[in-house]
Amino acid sequence: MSSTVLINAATLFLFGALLCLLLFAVGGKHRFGNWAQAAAAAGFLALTGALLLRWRESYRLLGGEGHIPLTNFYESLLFFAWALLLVHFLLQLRFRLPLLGTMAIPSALLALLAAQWSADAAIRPLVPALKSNWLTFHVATCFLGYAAFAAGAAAAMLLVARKSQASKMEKGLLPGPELLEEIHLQAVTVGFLLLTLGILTGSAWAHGAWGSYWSWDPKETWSLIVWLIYAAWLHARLSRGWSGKRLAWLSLLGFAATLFCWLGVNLLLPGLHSYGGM
Amino acid sequence: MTERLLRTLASLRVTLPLLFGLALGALLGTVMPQNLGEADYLRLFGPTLAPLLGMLGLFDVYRSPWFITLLGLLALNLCLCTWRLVPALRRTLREFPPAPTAARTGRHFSEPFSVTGLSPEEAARAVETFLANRFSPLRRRQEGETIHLFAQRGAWTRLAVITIHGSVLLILAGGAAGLLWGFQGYAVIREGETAHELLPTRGGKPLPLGFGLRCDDFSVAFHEGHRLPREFKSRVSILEGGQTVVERQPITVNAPLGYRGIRFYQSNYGPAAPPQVTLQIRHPSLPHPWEQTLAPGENRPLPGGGTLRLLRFSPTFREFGPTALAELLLPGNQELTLPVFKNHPELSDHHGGGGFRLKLVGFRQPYYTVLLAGYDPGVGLVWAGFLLLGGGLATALLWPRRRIWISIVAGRDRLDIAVTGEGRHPLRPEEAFLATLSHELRRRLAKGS
Repeated sequence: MSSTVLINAATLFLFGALLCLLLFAVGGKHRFGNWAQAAAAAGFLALTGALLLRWRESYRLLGGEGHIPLTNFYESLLFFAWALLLVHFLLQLRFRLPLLGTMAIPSALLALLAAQWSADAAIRPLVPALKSNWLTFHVATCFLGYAAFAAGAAAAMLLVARKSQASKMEKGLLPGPELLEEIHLQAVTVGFLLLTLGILTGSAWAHGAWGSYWSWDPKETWSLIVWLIYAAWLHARLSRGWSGKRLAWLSLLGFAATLFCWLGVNLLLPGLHSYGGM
Repeated sequence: MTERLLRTLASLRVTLPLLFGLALGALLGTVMPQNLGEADYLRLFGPTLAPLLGMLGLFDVYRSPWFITLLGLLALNLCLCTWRLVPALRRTLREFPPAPTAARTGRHFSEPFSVTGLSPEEAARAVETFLANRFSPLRRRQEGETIHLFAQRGAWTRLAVITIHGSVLLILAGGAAGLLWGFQGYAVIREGETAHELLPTRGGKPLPLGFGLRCDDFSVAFHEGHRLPREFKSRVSILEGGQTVVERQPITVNAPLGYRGIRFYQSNYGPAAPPQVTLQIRHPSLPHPWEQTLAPGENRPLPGGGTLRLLRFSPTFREFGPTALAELLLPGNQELTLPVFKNHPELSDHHGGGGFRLKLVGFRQPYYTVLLAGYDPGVGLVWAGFLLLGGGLATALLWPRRRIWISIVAGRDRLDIAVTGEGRHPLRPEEAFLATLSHELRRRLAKGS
């Protein structure tokens, strides 16, 4: 079995999960809700297997030069999809709400499809600059942080559009405003911590590889922009007492910057981080 | 006036605009191409707009006066706000806060129950002994017959906010020290040569090193079947006062060499001269194999008449490895063009070679290496800031923190007891914790009666 087969399986499972989720949202039959969760769980397991297998395949292909699959655009899409599902299941374990995955499952599916359609899947040896023990920790913390921000943004979107979703909230399909606020706060808080660790480890690595802990490279600068927006978010919440819609909008701004930091910078702005390009 | 300015600067109302301002400034720096030459900007923006944008500091945003002023203001605001936070923090650590109501927070839990046969005082004592080993000392407040108890755990983690703000200040201070007293330059050294000065990265006069930096040799290894370098490595020696103080130390990407506070990084490399390729030619007419070393474009007369010419050479031709393209000009205007592969000699035994067999014996590529050198006196402060920032944030955001309020209200023939809690624990939900606590407390009090 190769990792590609498992990635295809994960895509199919997520597609099935999305269909069940739609059927559930329309008909309200709990059976479909459970199926959606089960299919998403199968997709998550398949994707976990695919990442592990790809890791092993890289050793088979490149010998001692094998590496963790966190090194190019294709792998970042796979890992992001995996991280989205991970955060989704952590929230699901905690809150057990059938429609909580409305955002996570299609987003993960989209990331997988984007990976298969547009990104180069070849396993290649690493350039010397990437050969470092910092690689795993730096990329993993950044992308887990992005996924936590994504979960926060999903909650923020529901908070912003909460009038239109009121009936689903009453039926207990979606979290109510209080719980949404709670999910929003927890997700963004954890994301902020992870992003901070990602920036700090990246900076320490840059000091060893590029000769400077901060070079104002576009990726560095955009990660700082994201960090500043979420720092403002934290202060608005903790010290200025912001909550609800206003805080949710700020979080959405932060997530837009996060997406640009990942996709926009990789595709539009050249710089030291160009390994992530297509 | 000064006082009002200071008070404004010390308020959080300034913090958010400062954070957004910095974010916007940083954004401008990624959109506008930075640190190009004057001519490039003239070409991009024309003669009227270019000088204006330059004056606004948009061509070097991160070192422009306004960006540094914003950073300075943020540092000042951070200092003043943190200073003002201290008394408030001390108060929260000491005070008896009001119990949260459902309206105020989504995190609280409350479950009332009743016990009989105890006086309020006895019940309060029992609660205190019950909670003594789980929480900090309980605080007590009495309102008539009602006793309020309050206990907390992990309250000290609120102090982490001071650590976090302090760490950001340390990082900014380290950055300022680097900007003021540090330098970054590079040296381009051919194999066997010695550099005594650095060229500043941002332009300007060369900086004397105070010692000699010799590149003993440089090597590059390629991934098999790829043009991608696997590793490039300089071996350098440092000469000071007529002595070799460091001998043949390797510098590779991700593994710099430090000397006298200056760190040398492997940054780039290139060919210092054309490669010297050694080719061997066999032919029935030659008494023994004939070997020649030559560079691309050079000719050698063949012993039996005619010319050998090396057309091209690549150390990494597709997946074949080192490959030469040779040309033999033979008497009678016969022309043979032959590829020669070092790693695949069998491919050279082709037909149509007129009986000639070529072998690529070896090659030598002289290189120059580009070493980046940096001296940054602020880097220690930055590392300290990083450690405190990571640790402080983790403590402030993840460390379990709990507060509970217990009220004992004396009724006519019973005591009504309510447990209210608020808190955060990364692993255990608040409701579950309080439900267990409440349950155990109820059993304990029932036993005591």
